[in-house]
Amino acid sequence: MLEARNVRKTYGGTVALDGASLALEPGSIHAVLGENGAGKSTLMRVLFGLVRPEGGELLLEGAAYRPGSPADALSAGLGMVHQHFTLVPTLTAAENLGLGQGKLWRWTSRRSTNAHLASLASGYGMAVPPDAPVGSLSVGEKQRIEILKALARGARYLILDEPTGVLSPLEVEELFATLRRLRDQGVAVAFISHKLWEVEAVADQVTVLRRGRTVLTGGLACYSRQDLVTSMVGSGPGETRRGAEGVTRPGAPLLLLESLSALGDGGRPGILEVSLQVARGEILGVAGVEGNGQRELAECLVGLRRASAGALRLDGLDLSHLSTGARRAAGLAYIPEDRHAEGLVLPLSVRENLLLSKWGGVRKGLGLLDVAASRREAVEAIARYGIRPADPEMPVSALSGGNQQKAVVAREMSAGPKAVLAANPTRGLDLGAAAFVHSVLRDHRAKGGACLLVSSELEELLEICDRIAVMRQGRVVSVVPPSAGRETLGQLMVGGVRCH
Amino acid sequence: MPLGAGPTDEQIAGADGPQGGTEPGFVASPNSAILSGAGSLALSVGGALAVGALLMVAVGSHPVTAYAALASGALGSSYALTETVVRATPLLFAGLAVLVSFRCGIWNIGAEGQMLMASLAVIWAGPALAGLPLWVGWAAALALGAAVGAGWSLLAGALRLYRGVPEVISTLMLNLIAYQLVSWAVNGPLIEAARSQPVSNPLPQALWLPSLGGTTRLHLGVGLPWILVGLVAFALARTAFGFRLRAVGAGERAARACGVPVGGVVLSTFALSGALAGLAPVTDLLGLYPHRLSEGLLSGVGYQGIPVALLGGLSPWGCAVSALFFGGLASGSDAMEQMAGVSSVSVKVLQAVLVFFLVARPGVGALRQLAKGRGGPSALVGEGDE
Amino acid sequence: MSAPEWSLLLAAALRVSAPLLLAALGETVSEAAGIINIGLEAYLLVSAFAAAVVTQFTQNAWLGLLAGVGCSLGLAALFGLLVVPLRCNQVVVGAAMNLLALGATGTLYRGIFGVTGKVLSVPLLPAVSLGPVERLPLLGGVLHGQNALPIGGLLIAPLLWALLYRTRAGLVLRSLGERPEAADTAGFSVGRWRFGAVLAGGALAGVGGAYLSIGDTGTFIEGMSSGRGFVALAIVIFGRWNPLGVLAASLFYGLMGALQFHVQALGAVLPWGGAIPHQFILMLPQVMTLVVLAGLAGRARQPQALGIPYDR
Repeated sequence: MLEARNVRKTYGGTVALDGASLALEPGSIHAVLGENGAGKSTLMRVLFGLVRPEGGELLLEGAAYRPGSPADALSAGLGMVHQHFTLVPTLTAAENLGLGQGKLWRWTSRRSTNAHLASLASGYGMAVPPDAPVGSLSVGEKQRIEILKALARGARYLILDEPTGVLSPLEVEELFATLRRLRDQGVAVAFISHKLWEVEAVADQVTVLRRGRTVLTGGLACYSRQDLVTSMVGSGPGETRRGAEGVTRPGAPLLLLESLSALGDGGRPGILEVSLQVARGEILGVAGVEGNGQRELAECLVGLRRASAGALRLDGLDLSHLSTGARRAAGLAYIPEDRHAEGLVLPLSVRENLLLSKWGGVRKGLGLLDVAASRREAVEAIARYGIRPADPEMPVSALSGGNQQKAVVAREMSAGPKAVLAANPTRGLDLGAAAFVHSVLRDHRAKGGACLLVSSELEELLEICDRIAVMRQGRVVSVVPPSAGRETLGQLMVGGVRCH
Repeated sequence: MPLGAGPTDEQIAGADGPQGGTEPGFVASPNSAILSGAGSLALSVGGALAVGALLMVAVGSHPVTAYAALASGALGSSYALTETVVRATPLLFAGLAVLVSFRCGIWNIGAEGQMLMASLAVIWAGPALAGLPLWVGWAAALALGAAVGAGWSLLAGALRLYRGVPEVISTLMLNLIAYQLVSWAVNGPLIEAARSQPVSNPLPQALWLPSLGGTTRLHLGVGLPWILVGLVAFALARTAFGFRLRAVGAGERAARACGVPVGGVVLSTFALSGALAGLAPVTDLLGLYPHRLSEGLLSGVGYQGIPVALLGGLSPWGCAVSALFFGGLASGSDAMEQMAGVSSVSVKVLQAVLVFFLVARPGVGALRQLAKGRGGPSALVGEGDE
Repeated sequence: MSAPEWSLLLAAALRVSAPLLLAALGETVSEAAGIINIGLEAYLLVSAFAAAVVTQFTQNAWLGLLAGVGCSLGLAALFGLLVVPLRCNQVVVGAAMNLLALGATGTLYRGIFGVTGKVLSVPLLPAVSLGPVERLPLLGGVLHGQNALPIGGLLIAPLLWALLYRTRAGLVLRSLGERPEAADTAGFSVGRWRFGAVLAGGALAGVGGAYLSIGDTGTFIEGMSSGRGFVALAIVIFGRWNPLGVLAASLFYGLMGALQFHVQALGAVLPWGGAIPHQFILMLPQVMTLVVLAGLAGRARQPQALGIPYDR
């Protein structure tokens, strides 16, 4: 048995784990449930030696277990399948397995490598094509190889980090069949999930984490679905809080998405026939478990990802075939999810970052920059948005996270956009900075602008949105008012009812 | 992304490593090589000189004598000074060419080939240009050189943009191809009238740039790169194009998300870099005896643009200073060869060692950090290349 | 062309290809592990020089070979130190390596032998007697009189293929170039393995460089590698990072080079009458490398982690 008791871990000021407990038993499948940021991944990383806990204790078969690195965890009999696979795409399945063991310099024929894989795979009832480069295999097959890699090293405790997020429904079935066989052979399986139906389909035991704390644990049979949902998303006062104040009355549609489709990375369907309308004076939220097409949707709107079908209109103008620059000129602002990679050019100064997306405003004839004017604007923006330190020539990399986000917001809002697309704009910010971002979005609404807010934080959406669209597997499955409440949203997000 | 795995401020402060993204191959940004700090700069120069001294000892010369000869050859007389300026001229063009591409995140190491193609074109067109009025002829020759250099560079740019070919490889290949083309031309169609040596005829005398002073090799063209230093500095700091170029080089994804047309900026930068490189040999052909093209015309000037640009901290004015420094080494090395018996090619060792010191400094810092135990196991990186 | 003429041509081809093959095989190992060295030229030049000098003073070409490989290894260690633990940019360091080698060999050469233009003449490595093999029809003629280095190159290529594609060590190397995390999580030190691959590349290129001076010409001339290091880089791509492909590409290039002499000697003419300038034959491999990379003739896919320092 592998046990974690009262584990605590903080990152900077953020509490990631605050009394998380878990017990994995051989011959059982243990689901770990929780919202984004509930601490599930961190707990698994603690078990696997990737993160060192600050408090609590770990026990392996009754003895103290202190993994200093993944290597320790491996030799103790743990195996972990990450969301991002560590497979070499140009090697075959058999070769990827062979990387882990065998004599270094000895000739190994293809046949014997393949036979090794075949015997291992058939022992666990898994089918894997041995000869094709892994890069050409499906995600489900890659995952199977990862599981085999762990088992080949003698893993008796197998941890899977959100294994179903990347799989098609059919592949999920196959994964579950595999997990059941492993359980029957005495392996302890832990898997992280958001989706209730999956847990119900395959788990024997369940642990629910909320805000880094274990709020429920035990045999699955002991709990109703209602218990699980409630413990996952919490309940009570948050539910009645109505963010949309109900004072502004949305006007005519400003931003229109008409059956927009786009491919995801690696040819997977990214978004499928998404139709949404955002009216003047409205904030439309987009909720969903991460990886269900929200990122693709944002990229598609702003012109970083090509739409394969459908149309996008802003104030009557068809943006579908315009470049990113032209879309911005037409009045679309974009606050990206990853401010370090997409929002800011870190080595450039605050002033230059403010200048990045504004070509009409500051350029004099002959393509010259009006540095004096841009400095004036920068000083003004720094004052208005309270960016600290108030030095326009400071490299933006030297600013704190909150001030960096203020710089992004300042740039996007000072262009006077008609519609704002914000993707997780408060991620990683402290409360004050987050409240500031929210107030900016509310101001924009009050002035009759449209706002599309993509977020994985239900709290945030419930607080400031007028309507909330829920995305699952690339589609908008429903659009509901915030009054529908956390629980309904949670159910819609995780697919409380199975849907294929 | 799991909780707590987001980039911390500490990571960002050190965020000069690979930038991932769509750039084909060789992803690390050249900007990681941007250097600052006068102290460690001096240390690098000193280190290079020390290694050079070892080499001198190895060939039986006294370093002090040799360096004294070098210094007097570079600075010791007014002739020496003019020679330093003359030798700095092509290096400065090369340095600027490398600088603009590195600042845009482009590993263009094809200056050598771009120079060869430019000189080939100008020698070929020389007789036709000689009929033009004086200033027009010079301008036409320079424009032709710049255009051909830009075109040769754009080949690599187009290969990168449309076919994903890393420019490191394509520019190297284009260098070799250009070299063979020049070799063919001076052995074949463009061989001198006497046909005794594999060199071209000299440019028509009508195109020669006037000398600026008696016995020196100073000519009207040595001023050109200095004007360009100012122009490039101005363009980078004060024009929309220069700003976009820097933005793409420092953060391609953010620039793209902000609506900067990255492809166009990259292609334009390839062209600009090639044009700057193309001007170097043309200026020398117009201004310096023997005004002829030969296989050995450049002897690696294009590659030396890299040390020039790096020592100049990838800034135009810094480049100007470092080109003078390397020009002084070049002119001084001839004196050193005569007076101290140390071959002038030893200067290349100084250049190389200088580069090693310059690019190793950030790495040494990072290692020190690692030794302090700050670089523990971070999140498994893996951005969707399964 | 008669059979003896073919033998001569192919023997010349093997001589031209030997240094390219050895350097390219070394670079294949290093690039498989994710390290690109555009300073391959430096290994060739330094080794050619060291081999010539030591052979001159000891009159023993085998000691010369040892010295050449030793110096090349030293240079590889410097390169490895800069790009692996210090994580310097491989392109910049590689370009500087070339300058270093040109400068160092030139200075030392003139320092030791003066600039009198006296041609250095050193003993060559002895020809290998292959016994019955030399009586084979075409192959015998090609291999007759060759020394150990070209023959060694021909044998090393399949060995390296076996190493890279049929041993676990090869899996480790190839994963370093594609997905270093995979090797790391399997418990291999990315830094040490990459450094080892750089050294292996330096050693092989050193053998190739020594061949230039003490295997083929019996002399040393400043800058005698004359771009072969860059050609070898092209050959690695052309051979698609596979030792057997590299072997084929080197032999092809050797044939082109030998034909070039043939063209110069015989004034070979095109069917329609004009002569082919030999420079156009020499640039063919570079042109084809670009064509291959551009995907116009099948796709060449470079290792995905090539040129990227590893940071976990």
